[in-house]
Amino acid sequence: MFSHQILTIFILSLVLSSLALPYAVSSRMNLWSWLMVYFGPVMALSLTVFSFVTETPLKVDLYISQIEGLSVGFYLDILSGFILSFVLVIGAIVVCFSYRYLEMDLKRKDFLRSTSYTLCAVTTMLLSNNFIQFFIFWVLTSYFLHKLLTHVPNDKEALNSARQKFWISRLGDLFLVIAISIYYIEFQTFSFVNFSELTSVNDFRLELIGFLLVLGAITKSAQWPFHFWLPNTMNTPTPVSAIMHAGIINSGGYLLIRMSPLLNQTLYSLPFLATIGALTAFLGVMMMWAQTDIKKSLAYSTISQMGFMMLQIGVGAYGLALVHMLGHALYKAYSFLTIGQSVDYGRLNRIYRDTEKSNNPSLLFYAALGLFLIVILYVATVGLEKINSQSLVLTGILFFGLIQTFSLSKNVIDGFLNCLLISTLYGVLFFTSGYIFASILASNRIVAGWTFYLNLILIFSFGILFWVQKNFNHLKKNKFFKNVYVKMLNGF
Amino acid sequence: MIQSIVSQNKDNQHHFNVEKSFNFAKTSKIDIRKNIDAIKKRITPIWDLRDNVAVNPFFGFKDTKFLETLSLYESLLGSELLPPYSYFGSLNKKNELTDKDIDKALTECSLKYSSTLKISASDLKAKIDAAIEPKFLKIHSLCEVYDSFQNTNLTAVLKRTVSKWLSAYFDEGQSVWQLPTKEERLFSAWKQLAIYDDAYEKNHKGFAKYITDLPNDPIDTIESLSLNLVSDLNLDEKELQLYFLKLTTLLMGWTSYVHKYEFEAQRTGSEIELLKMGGFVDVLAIVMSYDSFFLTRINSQEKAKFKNSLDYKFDISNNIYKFLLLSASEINLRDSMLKSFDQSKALLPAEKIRPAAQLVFCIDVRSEVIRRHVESVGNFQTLGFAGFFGVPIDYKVLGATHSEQQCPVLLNPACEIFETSNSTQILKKRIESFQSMNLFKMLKSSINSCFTLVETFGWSYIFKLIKTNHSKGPVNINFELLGSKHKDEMLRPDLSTISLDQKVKLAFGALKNMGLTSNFSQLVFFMGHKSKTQNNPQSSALDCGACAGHSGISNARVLSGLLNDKEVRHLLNSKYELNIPADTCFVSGVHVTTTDEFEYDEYHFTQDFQIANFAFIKESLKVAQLKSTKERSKTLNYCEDLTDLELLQEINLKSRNWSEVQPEWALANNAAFIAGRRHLTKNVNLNSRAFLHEYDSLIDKDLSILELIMTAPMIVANWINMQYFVSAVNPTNYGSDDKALHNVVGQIGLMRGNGSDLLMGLSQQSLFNRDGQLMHQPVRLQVFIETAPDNLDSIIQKHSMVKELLDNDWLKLISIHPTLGHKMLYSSESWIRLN
Repeated sequence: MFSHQILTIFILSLVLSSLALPYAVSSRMNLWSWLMVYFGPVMALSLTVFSFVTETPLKVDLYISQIEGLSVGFYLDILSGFILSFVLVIGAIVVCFSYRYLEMDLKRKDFLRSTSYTLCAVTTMLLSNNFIQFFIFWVLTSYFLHKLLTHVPNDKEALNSARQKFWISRLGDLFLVIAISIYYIEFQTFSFVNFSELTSVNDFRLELIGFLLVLGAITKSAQWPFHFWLPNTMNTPTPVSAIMHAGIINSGGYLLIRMSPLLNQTLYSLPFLATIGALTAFLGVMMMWAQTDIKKSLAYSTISQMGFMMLQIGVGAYGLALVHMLGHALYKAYSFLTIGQSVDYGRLNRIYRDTEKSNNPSLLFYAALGLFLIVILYVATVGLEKINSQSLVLTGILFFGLIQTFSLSKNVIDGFLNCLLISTLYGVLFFTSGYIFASILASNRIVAGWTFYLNLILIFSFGILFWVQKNFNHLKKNKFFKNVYVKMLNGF
Repeated sequence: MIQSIVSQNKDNQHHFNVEKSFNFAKTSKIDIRKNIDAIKKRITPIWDLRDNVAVNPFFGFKDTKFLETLSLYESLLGSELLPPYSYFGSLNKKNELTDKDIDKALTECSLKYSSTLKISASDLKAKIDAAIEPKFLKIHSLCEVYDSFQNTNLTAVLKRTVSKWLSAYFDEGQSVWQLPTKEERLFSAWKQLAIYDDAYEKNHKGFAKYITDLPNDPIDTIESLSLNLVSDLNLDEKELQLYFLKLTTLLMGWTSYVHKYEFEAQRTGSEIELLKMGGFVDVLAIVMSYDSFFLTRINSQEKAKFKNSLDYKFDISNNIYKFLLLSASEINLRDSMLKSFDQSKALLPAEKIRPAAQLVFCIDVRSEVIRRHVESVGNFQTLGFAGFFGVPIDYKVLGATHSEQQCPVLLNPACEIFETSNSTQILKKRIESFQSMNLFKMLKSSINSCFTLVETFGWSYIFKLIKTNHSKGPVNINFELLGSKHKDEMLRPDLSTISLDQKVKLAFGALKNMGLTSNFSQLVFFMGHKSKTQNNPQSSALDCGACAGHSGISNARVLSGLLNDKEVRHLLNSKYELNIPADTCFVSGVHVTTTDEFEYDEYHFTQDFQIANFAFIKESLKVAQLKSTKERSKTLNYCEDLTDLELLQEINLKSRNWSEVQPEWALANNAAFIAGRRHLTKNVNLNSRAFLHEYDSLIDKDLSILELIMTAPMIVANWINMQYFVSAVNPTNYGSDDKALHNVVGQIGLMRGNGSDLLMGLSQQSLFNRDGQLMHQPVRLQVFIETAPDNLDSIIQKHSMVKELLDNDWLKLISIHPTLGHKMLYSSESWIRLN
């Protein structure tokens, strides 16, 4: 076991590791500089594994105040540790990338420094064990991000969009401040990690906290109707987008997953979140379809993926939401950093454009769809109480994914193999995440009636959008769809 | 237009060329169509990033004086197109612009610009010292006038909105949900959708209704809007034309891009009217619709300002000083180059020693460095020739369904050539990898699978991130699909589709024009060139411009294949008396300009001694490559104080790293085009500033080679040179901004961040070094041709394009007499003796 001093040193070095990044990168990286670059993520991951194995969260308090639950300190459990490892590895890579990418930039040093401050603020935010510290670093992250967004001097448009983001963020802060205040009134503590000890007295206040937390999270994670600032932040160097879409945008999701035990006790906030999430997911996909440039397309993809994550949280699938959040972060960071390849794809599309499409077994697709609908009807008639609502929603979505894979695969055997691969992976992720995070995440609530309707709505929307995508060509004469197209092109 | 301007400025006494297309008799009714055509002629096309070739953006103004055009565009764009005085000051300090040069410039320019007679050298020096930038009057659009009075920024909104529609229309693969009206011509596609554009309507109430009322035909629209404008503001013809020209500068990138389709249709001889997408008039009509909407919103004071700004007083008196200084800096450059040329061997008969190998490089300025070093390491002869090696083809890589052009964009490909391979596996592999690439894209974008995909496979990107971060390059894309991977399974062109007759014709033409008709060595290398960079949307700008912005390897392979063909050789001998020794083997290869590596196709060798020879030569050439790298690295980032091994590592990193933005300097600092025998420049270090073309006027009796040089490579060099010129002096309008902010639109073009006009020209990273120092000296192309002035004159008289470019100062032509050594400067009246 670690002694408290050693643990303190470890965690402090982890927190401060990001600050060394600008000094670690150079044009000629040697072993030492690589060690310095990857120190943060490796340390975070090691501590997380340690915490997982010993089944105890790592706690360091530097200062404990008189007020209950208010302290300056760090709290690393597998939830925060896991997210932190990913954020730091992305951060380290983005800093390495920026070194050469911005070699022309006279303010490169400032840029690297702001990036490292942002990472440091995120680290401290994730490792907070109370609301006050969390809130302070939530705001600080936003502040440093603002500096990064306005990196290019005299860029009016960048300034405008940064300002837009600034005010949305302040709105989110307001929701959060009120939530925290009510939380303190209700529970007489600022601590947000030991929910098992908390008992609620007032249902209304609990509901209110739930709602405000949800609102705070959806402003931070660019959910409809607060999504419009995100696609407008491209007048800043590409690495900023990478770190924003891969790291910072997730803080809303983290907050909600962290607060899941509390949210689980509320009645309406989760359905509300699920609705907003689903809506954002679908709108985001449609807007992504219409975009003609790669950065905006990636931005709307982030919006919709975040929406989907919120939907997962909304139906109580916290483990999967976490997996989704991290998978998306890595995928999006890579996509942003490699946008330069887009033109190579353009060239490929030009010279291979009439290559035979692989066989599209549409008959199979419709058969599978029919099968799925029968299952749904069956479930609906047999009775809901016997079926876990969240797994139903998620299986449904997985099922749609499988159908799509199936319909695009070369032949039946290929289709089966692909589907098998995806479902196995999905299952493994589902059960592993459930197992690993079991100690942190609240177990799912028993089915409430609304999930049935949610399921119906989801299936309905999936169906409609799928039909739209299949029928772009037939719909283009339709005035209504022309109108919708323009709305989506403009980003709603 | 300019004629009337001239008449207003009679006292200025400038001898302007009368501008034909601007010159109309005043009639009561203005013929709008004629005016549109006059402006259309002014637009130069640009190519997208897939074949990013350099273009002289003022090629449409080749019949107008350089200085006049630049001054006009300064007023249209509202920003400088000539270098600032401080720049000339720094040249003066570096001794690259001396008093002597200024004197010479005054003499040379006085022939064309009589007003320079009044200017003295001390005036110019005073101008440099004062460094007060001249002011110019800006020509406004209606929207800009509105902005300046209301203190709004609606011009930016207008530009962004039009860009949005154009990028949606010309998108070639980014969006999944394409423009519903894409199949109609641009104008009507826009018109049907713009009525739903709430985002624009928000600031412009009544816009939707205004569009609905417009005619459906773009020309009718321009006509009706123009007539409105003319009757409301009482514009005359030249004002209307100036207004049209102003509109084209609002979205210069897209306007030029659209014109590409018309240019290509014209080149191939198809009917422009049949172009499905419409063309220049469509863009003009769209921009005009947006801009003219402000006519109803501006008051009489604003209207007066608009009309006043169109009443453009043509005045070059401000810019004439800068023009003289620019000319002086060019004279400095020209004279130092002329001085360095070695003419001592001019009269000696050509050496008949058989070289160990002959290497033919592209005329690209980057070849100058490598050629010098190749010659220094052994008995190697190098030649310079346009990088498509005289075989204008369309090349279809194995497995592809469409070919790409592999010759200058000014030329029409003569035939389509398919790639073939000994292996049957590779075709299958390619099609499959393209299909799986598409599958992945569909899964990523489909509503059903996009969430599941990210959830199940997202984590795997951690390996990709870490791997690419360690500079192994983003291996996301299968570059093999582009046919650029080299040593795989014997990829070669299938030459059986060309008739024997055409084969012989192509082979003979290429050899004759590159001046390689005798004294063949055992190994003759055709070295095309390409660049190797990662994650670089502008990579094709680093490739061979003579191959339409692609790697030159396919052309090299085709020509080597033709010349290694026994039948072709036999016919060359019998038909043209061109005798290629039996032991000569032609080898295709490619020079990687980012790393100075050479890649060779070894499949050409048929005999053992060739292979043994080749192994030996390859080793010597490696020494040359290192020397070349060392020379280049002096100006590259992060290459200071490195050992040889470290330097090679760093250079390699530059070509493989995904975050590299300055992999090489490409054609920066190009200044001269030299067509002559190699001994003229053989021992001269031209610092990668000259295009070197092989030309021996003593052989070229019928001047056919000269004609070719002056109508093709020289023009291409002028395009490249002017592209660099305008990008260097006006990066805001003619450069493509900062690479760190680039956003790829429609998989074909670049825009800045959230959205802007289609970017054209060079990025900051291609022009400035880390300290913000300009790496390209903006000068006009100095063309040196080793032939008698009379020969040049006969070509100039024959080709009006060449004559116009020369007479209007777009480039400078110097004749170097091949036997007498006289150096003469071309001017439209007479040749000026230089020494």
